[in-house]
Amino acid sequence: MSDDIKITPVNRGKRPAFFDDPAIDQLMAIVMAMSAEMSVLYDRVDTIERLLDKKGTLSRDDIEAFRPDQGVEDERNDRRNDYISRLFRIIREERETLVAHDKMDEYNALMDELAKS
Amino acid sequence: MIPLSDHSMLAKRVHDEESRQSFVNDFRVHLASQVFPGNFPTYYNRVLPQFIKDKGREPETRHEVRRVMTHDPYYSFWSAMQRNSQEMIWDSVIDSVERQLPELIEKSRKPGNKGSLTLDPDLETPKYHVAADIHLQPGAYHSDQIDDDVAAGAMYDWGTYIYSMGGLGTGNNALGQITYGFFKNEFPDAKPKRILDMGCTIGGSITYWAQQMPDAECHGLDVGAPVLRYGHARAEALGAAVHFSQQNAEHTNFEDESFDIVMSHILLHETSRTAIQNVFNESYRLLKPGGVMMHMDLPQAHGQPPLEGFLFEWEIYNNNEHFFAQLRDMDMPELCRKAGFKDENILPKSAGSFWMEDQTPYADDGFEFPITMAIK
Ligand SMILES: C[S@@+](CC[C@H](N)C(=O)[O-])C[C@H]1O[C@@H](n2cnc3c(N)ncnc32)[C@H](O)[C@@H]1O
Repeated sequence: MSDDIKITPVNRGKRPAFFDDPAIDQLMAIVMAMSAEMSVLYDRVDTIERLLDKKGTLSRDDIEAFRPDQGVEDERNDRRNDYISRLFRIIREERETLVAHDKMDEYNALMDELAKS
Repeated sequence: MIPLSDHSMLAKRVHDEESRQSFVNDFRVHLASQVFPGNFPTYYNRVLPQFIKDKGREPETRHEVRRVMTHDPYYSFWSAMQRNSQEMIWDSVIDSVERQLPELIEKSRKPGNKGSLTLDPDLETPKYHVAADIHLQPGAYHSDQIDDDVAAGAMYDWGTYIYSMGGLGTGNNALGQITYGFFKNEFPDAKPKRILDMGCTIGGSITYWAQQMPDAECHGLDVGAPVLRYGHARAEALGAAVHFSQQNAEHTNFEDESFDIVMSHILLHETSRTAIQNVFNESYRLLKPGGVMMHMDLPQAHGQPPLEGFLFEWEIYNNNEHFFAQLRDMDMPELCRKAGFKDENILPKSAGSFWMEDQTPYADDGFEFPITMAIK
């Protein structure tokens, strides 16, 4: 029955371009979607491991029915946050370089110069 | 991610859907707490010095900042990821809603009978909602794909919760909690009998009010049918009496002077220049003498330094919140005056959001929502 109901995952309105080459925008969407699926897969493996630890055997139904309790969810949150941090290492590096220069030296020097002129 | 508290209308998620939504939530928390703050050193160390070199002065407005920041690689990368995270929210909620839609519709056809639902199939959807899907929700608030559709409501419930990174609380009602606390604080002895929430969507806020004030007659109106159907069934599932109706807040069918409170929660920034004045005029018409109008919305530009002002406007350009660009500079007391409120009864206020007990705070402090309040 639900076969005839499809919610199309597109929205009306112009999509902004963030990079000069539209292919980079598209690639970023693909990379993020893959990152999400990797995280989903990791949670699934985690579920399987937990079930095996506990029962030594498992069925698909067991996997589908598994819901993390608070402790498990906390562990998964930590793991996800580590994972996301690793994904964005390159961005963090850039940010850290910028913060390291956050003495606003250049800015202050320029302002001094302007004040003089 | 701590899940929303369950109710019978909430779309249930299978194992992987739950994981996917948790990822999107955590991705957004990471962007907000780790990546977004980098825009400040980027600006002060890279963009601003270059601007001063070129122009011999600092930027005077947020628009000037926008012209340069949107070309900065760090900002662009954050912005692109932020946009992706927004698209991923909807993508991560569609599957479970799609799968359960027939069931959810069936349930919504026989809700309880504490409140009511009145739809108007002839109501025209305002132009400002048809042009683009606001905050990128596919189909927005009003698209009906099949008879008695509730998909837009079901998607909104999970979607806005992830959008807010849990900030709307597990009852998805933080905005209502904020206005309710604000009202109780301003008018500790008031006993409102009839309350109207304009642009109520799935009724997150007005349902909370109805739970706190079971003796008051609570109404919620919206232009979108699928969100109202869902909202009605949701309120009934939560045991709250709310009367939902499909109407345009600019011109309703309620009688003159029939409400003690007329309010809205983040409705205004999704209207238009003409509509917003109409909403204020209509609020005035509907209020009893002594009644209170409270329209809560997002912060305006007044008093924000150029960089903050610019960063605040990301959703305008990247999340289809187009009218917010104009609302940012509008004179709210003037709208009240034009609607008929007396100067001395126009009281612009604000109320702070707070971190929910079960939410991970990702910034130093919450958020101040302006509330345009006036007494008739
Ligand atoms: C961001 S949502 C509001 C959220 C909601 N008030 C809450 O507290 O959860 C904005 C809503 O306003 C509705 N809306 C916009 N313009 C309207 C109008 N002129 N009349 C009635 N509803 C309107 C939209 O359909 C949408 O559901």
